[in-house]
Amino acid sequence: MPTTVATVAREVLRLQASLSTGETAAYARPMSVIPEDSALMLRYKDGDVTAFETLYRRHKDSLYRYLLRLSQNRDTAEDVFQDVWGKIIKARHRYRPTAKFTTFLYRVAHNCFIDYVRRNNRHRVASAMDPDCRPDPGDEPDLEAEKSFARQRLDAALGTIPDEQRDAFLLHEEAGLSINTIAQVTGVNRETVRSRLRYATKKLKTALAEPAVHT
Amino acid sequence: MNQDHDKHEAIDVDPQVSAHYQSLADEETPADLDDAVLREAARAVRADSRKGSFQAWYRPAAVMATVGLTLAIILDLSDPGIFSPAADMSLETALPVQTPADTTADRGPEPAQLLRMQPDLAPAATQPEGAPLEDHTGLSDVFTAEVEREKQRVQEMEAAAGTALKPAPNAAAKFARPRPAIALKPLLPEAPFACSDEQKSDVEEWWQCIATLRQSGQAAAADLELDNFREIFPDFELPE
Repeated sequence: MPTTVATVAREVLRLQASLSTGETAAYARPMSVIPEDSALMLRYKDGDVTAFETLYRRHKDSLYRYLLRLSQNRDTAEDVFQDVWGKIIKARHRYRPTAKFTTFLYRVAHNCFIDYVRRNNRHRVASAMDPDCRPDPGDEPDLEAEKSFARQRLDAALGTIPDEQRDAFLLHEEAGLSINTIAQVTGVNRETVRSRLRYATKKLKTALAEPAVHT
Repeated sequence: MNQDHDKHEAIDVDPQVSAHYQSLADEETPADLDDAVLREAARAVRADSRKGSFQAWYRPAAVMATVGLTLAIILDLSDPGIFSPAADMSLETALPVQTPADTTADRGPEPAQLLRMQPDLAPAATQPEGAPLEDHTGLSDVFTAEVEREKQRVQEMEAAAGTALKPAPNAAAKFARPRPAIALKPLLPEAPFACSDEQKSDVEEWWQCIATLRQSGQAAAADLELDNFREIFPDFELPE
């Protein structure tokens, strides 16, 4: 937290200095300095759309994969994904950098997903993930096919573990959140998160260790 | 610093499973989804800039309109106008202290006057006999006391005479509480009421009119007049 606040303060001072010296690009800075997520969100709050774009591109894929594997349904993932960013956009005026942006983002995502499931009240149907979002296989189609098969096995294995355990696992893997942060996002205590991660990992390991059956 | 410490603590995830996951999970968002989100973000910023100029004038205008409307309502309510029917009534005219032998001079509000009042307060027509009505004048307590005293006096006279006294002329008018206008039921468009206003101004004459209608075979007209009669004079003891 102090790091984030200090960074934001540095940004503000730098902006003031640049404005006083008459620099035209108030937000221009060297490539070696990567703006923190909170700083980008604050800039977007002030009307800088490019800051939002940077922030979005930084987190969009991991958030998408989190929702995709959590819901096990592409349409649901896309709906919730748009919902999440819509809420982030609407909340920009109230945004305060009191926590890491990823904590904020995934808390919103987690809650949006729960609301979506309650609203729609339907069982999530595991659907095969379409290959249209895959990166270009390049010159190794066999390798890509093998990878696609492995991905399907992983998705199937994830589908067999309970929702809460899958949620904890994905927050750890995709969002890179710590146990304490996962506890904050999911609203449970630390020990519960640890236990969910242990069970999830154990079941995935067992499922992935089974011999693969190529069809 | 706390977050860095969290990253290094032992995490209960098998590193092999984690590595396997990381090697496979490489999906990207669809391009149309990206476009939709970025468009919404840009639109929100544009809306902010428009709202800024709009807010510059609409807020003071809204405040002025609210203040003006509030003042208008307050001034309108403070004006007696037609919304305080008790404004022109004095206790003396509303409380006739009468004896059974009283003449028409000291009667209270004439029934015909009541009938001419706005005939759109239907609930009064469905009041059970003797039930207290809505008080629009604020004088119902006073009236009730007066009516009770009058009733007692009549009862005493009956007991003394030993016979059922016919209510004295115009005595029933005393029992007619000032009532809100009732929904009268016209009989025919060309002859809305079978009994004239003049007849209805006197309880005896009105009663006689109803009897005449019934004798002449106009039962429906008689029934309607009787309903209206009962509304105006609920305490009038109808002869057998």
